[in-house]
Amino acid sequence: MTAVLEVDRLTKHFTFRRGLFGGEGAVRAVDGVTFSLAQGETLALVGESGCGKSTVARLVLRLTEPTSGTIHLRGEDVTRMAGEKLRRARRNVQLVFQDPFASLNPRMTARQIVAEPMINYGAVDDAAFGRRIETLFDCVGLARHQWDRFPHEFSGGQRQRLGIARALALNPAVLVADEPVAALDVSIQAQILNLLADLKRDLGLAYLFISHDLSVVEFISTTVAVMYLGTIVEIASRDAFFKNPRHPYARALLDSVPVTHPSRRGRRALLQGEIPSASALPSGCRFRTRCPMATAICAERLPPLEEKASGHRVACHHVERQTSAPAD
Amino acid sequence: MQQPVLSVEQLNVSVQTTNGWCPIVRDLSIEVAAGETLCLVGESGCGKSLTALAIMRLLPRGARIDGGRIRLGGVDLAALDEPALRNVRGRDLAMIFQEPMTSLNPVMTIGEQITEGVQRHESVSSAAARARALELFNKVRIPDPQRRLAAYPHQLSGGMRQRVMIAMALACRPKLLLADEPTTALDVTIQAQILEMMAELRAEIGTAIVFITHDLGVVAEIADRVAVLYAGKIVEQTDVVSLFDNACHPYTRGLMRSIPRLSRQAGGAVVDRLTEIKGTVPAPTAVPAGCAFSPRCASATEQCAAEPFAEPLAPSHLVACWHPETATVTANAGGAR
Repeated sequence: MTAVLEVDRLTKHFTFRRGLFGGEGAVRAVDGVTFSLAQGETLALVGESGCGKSTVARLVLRLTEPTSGTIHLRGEDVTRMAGEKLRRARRNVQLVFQDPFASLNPRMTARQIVAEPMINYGAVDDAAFGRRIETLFDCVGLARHQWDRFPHEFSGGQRQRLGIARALALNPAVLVADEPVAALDVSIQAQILNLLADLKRDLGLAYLFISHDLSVVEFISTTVAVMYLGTIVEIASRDAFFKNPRHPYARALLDSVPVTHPSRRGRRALLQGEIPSASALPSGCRFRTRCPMATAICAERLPPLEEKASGHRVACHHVERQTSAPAD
Repeated sequence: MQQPVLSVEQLNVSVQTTNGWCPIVRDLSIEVAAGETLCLVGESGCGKSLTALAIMRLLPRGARIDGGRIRLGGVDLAALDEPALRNVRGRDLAMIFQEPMTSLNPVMTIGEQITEGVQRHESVSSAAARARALELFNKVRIPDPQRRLAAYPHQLSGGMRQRVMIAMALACRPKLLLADEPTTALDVTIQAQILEMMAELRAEIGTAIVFITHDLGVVAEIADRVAVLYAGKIVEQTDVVSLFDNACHPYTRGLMRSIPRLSRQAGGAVVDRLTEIKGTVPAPTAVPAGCAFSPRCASATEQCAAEPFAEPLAPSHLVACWHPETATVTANAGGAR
């Protein structure tokens, strides 16, 4: 499988001044993130607020300039692309937002919203154009009589469908979905997750799926990358990750997911403390301040992201390399 | 059952729209005993937050109580005037919200805000009030409490602010705590910490808790009993174990089936499709007559055009449905198939 999106040592530091006479400080929002995404895959970026997952999305979309590192889209280096070339490359990667209402123009009808990206890329409103719009509305499950409605006339789930139709309008290779179901009601989440799964299969898309919800991630993803303070601490196939999470942070994150039945209460060790500030990172391993396994070496050296089992990479000094997965 | 701390009977709340008053909460009755947690579960617009605000008597302008009784330890809150309410709120009755930043005063230190409440209700010296605040900070596990008392809200993280709110709410050992989605805005690792702490404090202080959430996982973590709301009405009310083992209302069962579950918790393989509830929640101005869930319900018949009564299917298991399902719940990703 060839990668449609390749990200190599991607880094974004935001600089700021410490007070009037202070020196420059830096928030290391994303620090050396590497992954690749093939057609038909869903890579889930998982982590808590401030871990840098949304910044990665913005970098991939070229909405923020990276400090260093490279982004390849369908084999083409888009990292420093600008002007017309960037515009052309960009139609291959589209975004689905968390809050569909905030990302839809309230003065445009559903049809205009979906048509706009195509018109921006030079399409003319002819018969073929009309058929394309019809296909898009069909794909996301919106009926014909809803075409002329405005965003406020739709429910939350329907707005998200509209947002997805707009993202698909240009036939992108990659869809970046930043918490696409987090703002939706429980009974609507399942509809949108099923829709995203169907679209990926039918249209051969690849998803970069950003979420804090591990149950959603297990349903939708093929690969999982866990981020903590700007770095990937563990990356593996979905099944390997959920069967045998290796990094202490990934384990803690899974243990924090609320139970599915009251009889399972209280069977876990909770993570203590809170995520440190990204402008004052701990030395060595960034997770060591909350880690139950931390020792002296963790304060001295940042553990590299290493292959600990086939296709399962973990950044931790205390995770042993193994050839076969043990029973947990 | 012991004498309930809170007993709400036939509560009706409506809000003003351009077409007159629109009912949001309809004939809601709940009881909560000391040391018990009742979860109000439902999706946006189901009336769960307005119920809490009605109990607090803090309904915003444009919302009103149309009828019903709200008894807190023998006092009917619905009949109290504002000065009397001020003596009850903060002392017998406290509330915490989803976003603590909006309910903390940004220009007062945390310590001042806690001691202010204590001194409003009890004749204690400032030193004693401060000592109480310190003790509370230890209870809600705020690290370095002495220094944090002098901090302003913006200097704290979201999780810390919620701990402060809980400390403040519990300062006068209230009989009832209303918690409106208190962990929804927090990260999962912090949510787990806060839920564990709330369960411990409830056991220690014996406060009754009405906990509002949309998240069935949180319900499984914290509830003793659960009331499921749909379009302003309680459709099912029972203890937490029978809700998860034997939910009978088609809406409750639909919710249970539609949420993705971790395979490691549910057992079995990952599903490749989630079970959907078709359609969407009706707008409050367009709630269908009869059973409000019937247009989305697979078991609906002509009978559902008439409003179902809340019938006890088992002792303390109320279901408002003409066609309750009684077989064991099949959950997504596991359970019995």
